[in-house]
Amino acid sequence: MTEDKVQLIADCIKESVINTIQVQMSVSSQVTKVNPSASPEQWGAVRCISSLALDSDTFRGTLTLAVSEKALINIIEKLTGEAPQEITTENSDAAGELLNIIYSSARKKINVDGALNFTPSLPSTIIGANLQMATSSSVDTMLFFDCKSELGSFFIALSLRKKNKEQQH
Amino acid sequence: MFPANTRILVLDDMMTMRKIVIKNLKDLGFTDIQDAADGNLGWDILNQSSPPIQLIISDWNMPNCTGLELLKKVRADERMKAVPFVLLTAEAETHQVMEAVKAGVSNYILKPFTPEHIKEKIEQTYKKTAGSAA
Repeated sequence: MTEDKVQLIADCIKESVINTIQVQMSVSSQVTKVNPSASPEQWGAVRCISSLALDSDTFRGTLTLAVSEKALINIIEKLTGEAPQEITTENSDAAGELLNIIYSSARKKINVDGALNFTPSLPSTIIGANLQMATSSSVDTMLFFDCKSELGSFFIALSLRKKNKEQQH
Repeated sequence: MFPANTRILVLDDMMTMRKIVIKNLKDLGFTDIQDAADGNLGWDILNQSSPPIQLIISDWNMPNCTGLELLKKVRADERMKAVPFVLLTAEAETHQVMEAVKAGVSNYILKPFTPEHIKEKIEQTYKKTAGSAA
């Protein structure tokens, strides 16, 4: 993938994170860093990870959101008006919904401005204690987005790999 | 505006999004709200509800039966074809909007949205469809 396309995707995701948090939760946020390598020591204890599959004619990959229990409880309270005591399988879908909106909003611009055709995808969400996101050397592009707001921090990872000829549509 | 006792069906596979929409509807004064996690469950409610559902707010992208598939079923059914149907979606590409319009969608709400967006879209929908499902 060319550098300008990677930059376009990174910019679209950043813009979508800020817009989604602002519109849906009336809270301002910042994407403070976009790095090609993870800095998991800054992530704290990740309680929930939501991920969706990315697929286009020429690329496949994943977009993943990682969030701590405290930040996710704050997000759920802001979204629904109810503050849960803990994160459960049921209420953790808030992380999936957040990722879904971020991706869907970014996807439109990525497809139009980047002449790519990423398809819609539904997120899958898991919860656990001190979850980790591993990186892989087999992907062509890996970007980590550090996102901060008054609700707490969360992290987004983008990985993309060019399809071989047999995999292309 | 739709009266406060309008029976509303909210469909989304994400519980959190259903809660967000229901909270917004309650804040607008609506009191009779039912919800389900996909179009198949929604179809069951539409067939069983008495009094009948008078407004549907449905996510587009759901497993089993999508919002668009449910819209087509509703519009093909004599009993409920006039029920106002609002699609809730994060997808707003032109061809998708055209597809929904062709299928008879009354309005759509784009995610992310504010409570003001919901109010505005419901008011628009009422003006467009006033009395049609009565």
